[in-house]
Amino acid sequence: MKRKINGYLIAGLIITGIILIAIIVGMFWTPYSPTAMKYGRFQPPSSSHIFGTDNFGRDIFSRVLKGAGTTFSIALSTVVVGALAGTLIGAVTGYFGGLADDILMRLNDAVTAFPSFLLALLVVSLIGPGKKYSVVISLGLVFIPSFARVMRTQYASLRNQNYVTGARLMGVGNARLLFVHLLPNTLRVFLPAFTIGFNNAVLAEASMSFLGIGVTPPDASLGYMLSEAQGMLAAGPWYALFTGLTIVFLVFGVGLIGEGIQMQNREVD
Amino acid sequence: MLEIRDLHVRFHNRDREAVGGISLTIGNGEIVGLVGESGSGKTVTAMSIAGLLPRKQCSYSGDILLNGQDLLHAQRSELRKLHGREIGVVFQEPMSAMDPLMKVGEQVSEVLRIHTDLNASERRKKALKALTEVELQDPEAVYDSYPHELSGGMLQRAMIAAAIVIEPSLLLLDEPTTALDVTIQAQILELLKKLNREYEVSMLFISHNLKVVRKLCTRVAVMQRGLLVETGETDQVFYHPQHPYTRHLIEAIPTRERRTS
Amino acid sequence: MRESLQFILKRIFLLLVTMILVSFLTFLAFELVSGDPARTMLGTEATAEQLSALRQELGLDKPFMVRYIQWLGGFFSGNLGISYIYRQPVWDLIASKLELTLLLSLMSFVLIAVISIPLGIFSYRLTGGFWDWPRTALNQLCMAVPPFFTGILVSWEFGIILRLFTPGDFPSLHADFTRALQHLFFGAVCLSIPRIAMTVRMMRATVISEMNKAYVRTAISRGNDRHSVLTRHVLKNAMVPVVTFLGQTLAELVGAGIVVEQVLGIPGMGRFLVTSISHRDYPVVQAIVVILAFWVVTVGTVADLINQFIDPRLRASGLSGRLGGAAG
Repeated sequence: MKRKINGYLIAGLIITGIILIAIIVGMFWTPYSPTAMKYGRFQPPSSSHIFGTDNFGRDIFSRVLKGAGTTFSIALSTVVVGALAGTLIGAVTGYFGGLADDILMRLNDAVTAFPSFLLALLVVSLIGPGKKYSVVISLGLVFIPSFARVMRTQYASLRNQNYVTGARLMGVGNARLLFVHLLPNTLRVFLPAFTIGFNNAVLAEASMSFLGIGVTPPDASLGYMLSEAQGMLAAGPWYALFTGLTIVFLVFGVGLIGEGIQMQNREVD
Repeated sequence: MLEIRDLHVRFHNRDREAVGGISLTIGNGEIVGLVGESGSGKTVTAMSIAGLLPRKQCSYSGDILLNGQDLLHAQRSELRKLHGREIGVVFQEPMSAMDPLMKVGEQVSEVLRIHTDLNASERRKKALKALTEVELQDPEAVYDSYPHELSGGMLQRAMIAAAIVIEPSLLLLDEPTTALDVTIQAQILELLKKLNREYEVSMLFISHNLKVVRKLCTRVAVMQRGLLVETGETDQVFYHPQHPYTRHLIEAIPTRERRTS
Repeated sequence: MRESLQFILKRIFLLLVTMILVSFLTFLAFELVSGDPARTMLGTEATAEQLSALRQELGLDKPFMVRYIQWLGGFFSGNLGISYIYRQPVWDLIASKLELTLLLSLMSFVLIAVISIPLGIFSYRLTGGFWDWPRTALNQLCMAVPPFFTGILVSWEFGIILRLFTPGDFPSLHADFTRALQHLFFGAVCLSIPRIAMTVRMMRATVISEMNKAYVRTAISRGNDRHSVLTRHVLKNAMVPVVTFLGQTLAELVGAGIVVEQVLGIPGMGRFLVTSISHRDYPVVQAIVVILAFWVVTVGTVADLINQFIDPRLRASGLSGRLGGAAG
């Protein structure tokens, strides 16, 4: 079985890696203070200010670094919440089946039918907008159904494998079986779903912050920064451009990773 | 009429050849059986004749000549004129071999659409005639049905109709009865015999089921692991098998059935 | 024919049930979460008498179920309630906005459908060989471009620089139809780009999976060339999952349009929903949510009907295009 790591995976990991490294560095050090308004307004990109400055005189690059970190951490938390809860539900319903499975899956279909973004909006409005955790909870909730569906399918198909029967005969407890033995076998499907979920989380959080119901200052995320940037367009596009491009590249990089994993899966088949 | 000369086929991802040098001829009006277990290369041989080899995934050599015309190495565009016209194929699982969204009748007349200039109503007439030939009770109803509305036996008859409607020289049948009930199997075999007589169409009948081959075929060729181990007249091969593998296959038939002639 | 009728009736029933369920849940949610609407409307300075007078006026002094039934009855007779903030009938407020949002979604949908299908086929033809990785990379890139970002770029490029439209100033649909349409068109394009990429990807995968099926081999054995196999057999078979997917896309476009409306200054329903949510204008939110539920179920039903037309196997059992889905 020849295993070459394919190009998409590598490219994706590199791109995402660069952004990730920049974010980590940005947590401890930025070229300038992201909030200080003293660097001269609307300067185009130059050697001293890579991304230029905005209309308050703040260095865009530093802001983008911090904002990317916020976006990344929120998106990650969101998709982890959705994935954990969704996997739990999917594993239990897929493995045990029965009435609970039927009901939950119908519920699942009903929820997925509704535009997810609006669902998240509703939940946020109920919880109270503006804080990080409200975004994470509302979006996380919205992501649960898709993970549940995917994992349920996996667990349902693995249920009848020989090694499962063998393990049960040996007396392995259910919880252990589900999560220690079966879970690794679902990784093939789980990982691409995770990358897709992450990307959706980035875009959804950015949209929500853009609309003003996601995170608000001082926790600026890339989405919020874009909404700021929109007002400054006439004077110069740098703020909007670089903020947006950062989002695009983050999503692009992670998307390539997902694509690469799926390609790996296909090759193994 | 059909001549296979020293055919070798090897798939790129395998070590051993799927077909390791076979030579076989099929004369006009003959029904030749090709038997062997799974992996013997019989299906690959059939696919080579039918032009269904995935050329990018295998390498091949030798000759396959249909009335002198090269089938193996010719250009795809040339071969396409023969596919369906001179060579008809009947596959194993009729339900999946048919387009689920196209009426059965239209699939039966498809070869006519591709290879002739007949108009729609003429094609329909011929298709109905073919459906009658294969002993389907209500050809008009079958024509307007979709594949999922018919039983396996009926569909297989329709597939045969689709193959013979254009009166080809050769019919390739790849395990056509394997997926069917035993009673239907017998009927289909009788049908094939009848068609062979009436249309003088040669047939290559592929199967792992010796009983069935015995009933239908005039000559038999036995394959094992890509090689042709024995050929001959059916009765000869069954009563006086030369090769140990042939004997082994015959011995696998339950005794009572073995003696049926 | 009879079966289609049965199917439609079943679906109408499902539609009603869904709308009632959704409205009930949102009504309940607002009941549990919202503060006192009277206070919100009158502010903190209001006296007790003013508050109770307003509550009586709005019918807030009645018990929960009574209010809900009243609302339900009102809804089905065309009365969507009165906005807390604007003190006007909700329907009057959202009618023109609904128009715009629907128009935006439909324009976007048409773009997606018309471009993705041929592009999907083309993408399939490119499989294998040199164009594989540029094609995949481009696809992922397009999926990564958020509509609000393109919206900003578009409003900058076409609005500010080229002055093709004025981002902040949206002409009334009835007053200046062509200009409004033009403005909407930019929004539709922004919405479409990532979705076109997704649909193309999906379509390509579907065609590939169909090409591996047995009936393709039969078609080739009859002498069909690659083009005929595609057009006469595979395409039709591939359409069923694609139609379902497009239906889901149309349903969620209305939600996705919110951000584009915000960016390009289109006074659509989405934007109104957001402001209503932040202002706690629950009658408006309630009405919009139920309208959306109606939209989603209707679009899904239409998609299923189309699939039943394409695929006769789906007709008898009333299943939708969800064949071959999850195990079970």
